[in-house]
Amino acid sequence: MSIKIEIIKANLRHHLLMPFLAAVGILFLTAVLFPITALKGKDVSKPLEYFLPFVGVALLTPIFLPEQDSSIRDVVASKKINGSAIYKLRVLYSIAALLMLISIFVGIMYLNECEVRWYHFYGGFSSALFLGSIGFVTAGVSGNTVAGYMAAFLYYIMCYGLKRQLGVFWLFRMSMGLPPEKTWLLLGGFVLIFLAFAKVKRCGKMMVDSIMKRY
Amino acid sequence: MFLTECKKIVRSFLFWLFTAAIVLAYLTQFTPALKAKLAMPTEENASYGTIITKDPDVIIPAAVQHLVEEYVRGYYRAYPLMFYREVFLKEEDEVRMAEILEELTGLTKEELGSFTDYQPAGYDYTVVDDSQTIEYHEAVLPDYVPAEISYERFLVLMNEADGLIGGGSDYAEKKLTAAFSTVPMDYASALAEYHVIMTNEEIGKAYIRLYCDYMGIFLAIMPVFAAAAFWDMDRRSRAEALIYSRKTSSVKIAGIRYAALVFCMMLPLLVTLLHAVICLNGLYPELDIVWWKGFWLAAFWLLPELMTVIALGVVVTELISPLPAVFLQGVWWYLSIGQNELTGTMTKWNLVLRHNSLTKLQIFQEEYQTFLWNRSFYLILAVGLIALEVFLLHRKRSGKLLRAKRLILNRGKHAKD
Repeated sequence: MSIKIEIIKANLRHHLLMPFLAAVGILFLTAVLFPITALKGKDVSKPLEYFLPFVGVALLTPIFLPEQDSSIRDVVASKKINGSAIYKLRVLYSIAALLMLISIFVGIMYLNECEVRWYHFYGGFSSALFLGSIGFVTAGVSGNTVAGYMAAFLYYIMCYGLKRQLGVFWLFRMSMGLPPEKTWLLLGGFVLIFLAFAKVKRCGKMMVDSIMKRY
Repeated sequence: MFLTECKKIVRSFLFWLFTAAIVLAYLTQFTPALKAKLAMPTEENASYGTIITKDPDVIIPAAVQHLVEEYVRGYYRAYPLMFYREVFLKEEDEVRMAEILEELTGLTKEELGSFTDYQPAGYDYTVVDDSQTIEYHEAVLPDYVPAEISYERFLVLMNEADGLIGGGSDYAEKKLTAAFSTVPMDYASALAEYHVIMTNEEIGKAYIRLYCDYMGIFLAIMPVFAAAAFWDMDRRSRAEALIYSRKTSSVKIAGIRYAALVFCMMLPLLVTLLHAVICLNGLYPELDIVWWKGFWLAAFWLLPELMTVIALGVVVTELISPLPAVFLQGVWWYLSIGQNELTGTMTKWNLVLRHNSLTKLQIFQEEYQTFLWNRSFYLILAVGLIALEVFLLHRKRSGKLLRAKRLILNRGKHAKD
């Protein structure tokens, strides 16, 4: 147990700080640039759907980043504890940070007399998790965090271009007055995270097998 | 060396992701315009678009009506930080705004304040026996008789109103014409414009404007990912020391790599543009389209944007790391697309320029000088950024930049101790 706490502490100190600051920066920019005073109806969803998904991207995409440095990857691989367990811990605290930041933002909206409801919070969180998980799975599969950011941005721009053709996976449904159906985004997000783990686990096994063959 | 760098880029996953983004944008956004010929306006058309008049007799009543509407609605639309914001005035500013309106309309603050029947403009839907009718209604505003006022005095009042709102509103002098001087185009003008566009000289440019409009949105963000990752490749593969110790000059290393990045990222653009040219030659067999003017337009529209995005990504990656480069470009991209309408909003400084129409030729011609200014600025900026990158690389190779970085880091550590 104490090892796990030590691992969490080390990860929070070394790997969460920059993504968390970037996420807070996005939240701050949203509050500065977007009017979040006395919003009603569809307008309440706009900051949550147009800006906050990037908070998910900032937090979830760089989860594999430390191990993309080959020397860190070698050190981690030499340890007894499974690398996937570390990634799982990082995903968990990143999702917790996402929940916290979106709660704070929704709270600020509420205090600014916006008519926020629980489904706005749910929808904002699901959109952020989904877009973040696109970055996460691409970063995991390609082994390149920058590719993760690129895929997330690409999907976001396609949401402008393709609109309703994306169906329940269209990020801006609430802002356009459509039924939110955000559970699909939430489920989609978790499926993508699961896929990334499956791929990374397979790659890890392949790497170990190839090393074993050498000996 | 150029070919070696190109090979490295083309073999990377990010280049193919970039290519997929460009092809996807082309297929989903632009190709629908290639399916049918530009439609000729008919007398039955309900609307033929709009035309800019620059006539004070059009601008003054439209701007005053808009200001009255915003006053009774209670908030004003503006782009003070290059981004949309709804501004609520403080008490003393509202008093001054009422005085401005009194001079323009004769309505006093009390008369404006007692008006409670305000309704925004919109559509009325009526369904009778499964058939739906849609009617447009104008905004419901207080009645007033516009005051007779000189255009100079009107501009002074509008500038003051813009100042009260905090700047960035449609009442600013430079925005007044674009915001309030448009009138609906009539059939004859629409037909005349159609005939101008349907010529060998203009038709290619019309489609290329639309192509650049869509591609510009993607080029303002997508190249930064590949550029930042490519520039970070040496550090990731621990080849920095090896490259720094080579005899080759920093100008050559940075210049060739930058040129390779720009060249490779132009490839998907060239392929999609070629496809569009073939399709359009097939769509308009009766015309002998003059393409070279269109190609010049596309190059001048897209190349400075591509060069700037890559150059900024490269410099920030060199100075810090790829992630801040992506973050910075992401924020710039969002601010840039946020201040654009589909047409008629080109500015001297905005990275993304838009003209989302095959027609509206007059609007583009009005903006042409701004367009030339803007793209020349970004071309110079890109060259300046690359010169900065050469300087940074040279400092790094001679150890000066690294020493400075180390000094700052050590000072931070000592301060903590």
